[in-house]
Amino acid sequence: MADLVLRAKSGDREAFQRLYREHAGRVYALCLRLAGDPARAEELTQDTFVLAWRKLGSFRGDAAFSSWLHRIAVNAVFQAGRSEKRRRARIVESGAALETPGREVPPGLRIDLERAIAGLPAGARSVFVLHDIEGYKHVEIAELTGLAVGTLKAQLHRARRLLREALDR
Amino acid sequence: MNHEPKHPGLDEYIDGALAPDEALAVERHLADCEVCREELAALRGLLADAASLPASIEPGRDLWPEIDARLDAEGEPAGVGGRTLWSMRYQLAAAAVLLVVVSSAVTSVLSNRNGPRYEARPPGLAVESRQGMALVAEWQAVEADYVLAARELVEALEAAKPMLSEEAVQLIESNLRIIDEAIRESRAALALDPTNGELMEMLSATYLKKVEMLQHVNRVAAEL
Repeated sequence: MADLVLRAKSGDREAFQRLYREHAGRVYALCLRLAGDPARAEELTQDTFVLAWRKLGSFRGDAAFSSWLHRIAVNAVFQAGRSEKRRRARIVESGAALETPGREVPPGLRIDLERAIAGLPAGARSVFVLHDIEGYKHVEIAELTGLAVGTLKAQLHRARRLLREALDR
Repeated sequence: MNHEPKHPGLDEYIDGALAPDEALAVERHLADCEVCREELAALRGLLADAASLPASIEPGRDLWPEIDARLDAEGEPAGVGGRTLWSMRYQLAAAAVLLVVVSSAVTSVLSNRNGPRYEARPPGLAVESRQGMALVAEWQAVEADYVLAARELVEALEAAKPMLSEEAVQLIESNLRIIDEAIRESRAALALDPTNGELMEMLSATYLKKVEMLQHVNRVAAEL
């Protein structure tokens, strides 16, 4: 296990800060793409590192620290998403679809792939980011989201179609 | 194979998720279908662009000061004393030992009484009698042990909550409220009839249920 991780496990806050400096960019990128919102991504990045600190004792070093950290980040994003859905469900009395819509992308505007991803509906965005950018397998995403593999494949197909439309390809 | 430009089979083909015979069928189709060939090329282009996105994006500001402040509020870090997984397991084991002792003590208290085990109040066993006072004192000692075991496990649960889903936490809290209400009612009844063995057993069973549930939840959290 890397020295920094061992030191952080023993309570060395400075070592943990160095781990943060080393991994913050990747964690933030993941949170940004999953959440589609920079301010939310900053909160989720903070949550991820606080959770990681709490759980460092359970990190056995079987996987790379970055993989372990990414798993925590993905869980933090989905956990936050579920809480948000519940909060909205309490506010919205009707049974309207609760899926978070992506940010609107003005038609005809030249957009890059990052912005197009941010503009996807939440479900399609998550699957595209995890599968096509982060390299997760459908079964792994199914474990994280609780969704069926068939649903995830349909979401991925939808995401790719929407992205190509947004990018006019 | 149809000629719809958004053919779902192409997604699985490009992901390498098709069986060899299915992949071969797609390739045969592609050889004859320009629409699908263009679709496949566009998909490949999209995935190549996705793969070339930067793996790292620095946040717009330094998030460490806020994380650092939150870690201060966290108290002791994971893996160093305090509420670590190790200490949770240790606490769990300690509570299990305590539970065995308490359970034995309950049996001992109740079996040492004069009269049948489930008799509501043994004849002549008044609270103010020496035997009655001894029974009440023994029960109070047993109850204190239960309360201690439950308190330690509740503390462990509080530390473990961040590792549990919100649904699980809500369910646990709901169940604890039900058990605590049953404990409150049994204690109120026992206060009116302090040497009633049936009430002691009922209360003991409810405490036991609470401790066992907390043990189970903490065990699950410790394995996450």
